[in-house]
Amino acid sequence: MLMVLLGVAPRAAAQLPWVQLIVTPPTVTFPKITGNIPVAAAPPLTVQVVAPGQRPWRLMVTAVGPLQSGEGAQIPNQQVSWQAGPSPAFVNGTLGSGQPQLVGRGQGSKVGVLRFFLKNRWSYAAGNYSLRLHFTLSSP
Amino acid sequence: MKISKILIAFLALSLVAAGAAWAATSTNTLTINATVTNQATLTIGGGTTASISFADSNPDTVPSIASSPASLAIVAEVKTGSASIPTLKVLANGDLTSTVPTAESIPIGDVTWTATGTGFSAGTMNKATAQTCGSWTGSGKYTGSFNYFLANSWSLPVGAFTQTATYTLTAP
Repeated sequence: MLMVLLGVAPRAAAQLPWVQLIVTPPTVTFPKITGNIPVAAAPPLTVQVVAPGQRPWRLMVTAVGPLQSGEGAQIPNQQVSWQAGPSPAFVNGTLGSGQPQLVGRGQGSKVGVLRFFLKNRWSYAAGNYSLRLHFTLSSP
Repeated sequence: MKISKILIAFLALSLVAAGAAWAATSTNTLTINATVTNQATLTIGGGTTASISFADSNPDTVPSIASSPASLAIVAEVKTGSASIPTLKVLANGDLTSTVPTAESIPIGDVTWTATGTGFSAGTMNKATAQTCGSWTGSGKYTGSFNYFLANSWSLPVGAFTQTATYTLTAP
């Protein structure tokens, strides 16, 4: 009996909603990359961190592959950066190639705004590109 | 005694690791879309128009007259499919013509050019068929220069001659 209780208790604790992350909208689209504009800016998105009390948290983002077109052309992730606020909870950054990048850290619930930017380069092949980002909110 | 020390050290390490672990997580996925459109931008001599001139010269000593300025810088900026072939072509809008002192002409085919820069090529002006003077594969910023020459001879008529030529950069 004691063995059963010990087995159930940790599982129930792990399912408690300690922290929650809400990123909206789930899709952002850069304006068409034309002309000699140095950078294209995507519409801002909202990042809501729900953390009870003063629970500490850390928010990371990981790119799943590069920006890739249907024809197989790629734009390196390093050409994509973001500006985030308010600081100091949310920080600016540049996407990496598969490595998680810090987006923010803090305590308690916070709402941030992220805006992604894509550098314009003549080397880009024409096409429609897509990239998926995984945001991971963690709390001890 | 030695074994005990190892066990204690391991236990301490385990506690530190447990304290640093991020136990609760929540994830979201964001999709980012971008569209890169076909585009072509050409500058010649640093702008959208440029002019060159050929000075009167003795055909015996200067059989080929170099233009002034000696060269024009060319910048072809292209966005296209990765396997597409952008091209730069030039079409003369007629022969070199003059009205003073009399109506005269010099065949535009007497004007040639040499080229520097990857993908740029030399050629001869033509008023009927556009001549390819640059070709590449895929997107990029391609830089080079053209040097122009007029074939000199005693048979050239007297006068001040002029003509225009149009360069067209195409990103298929």
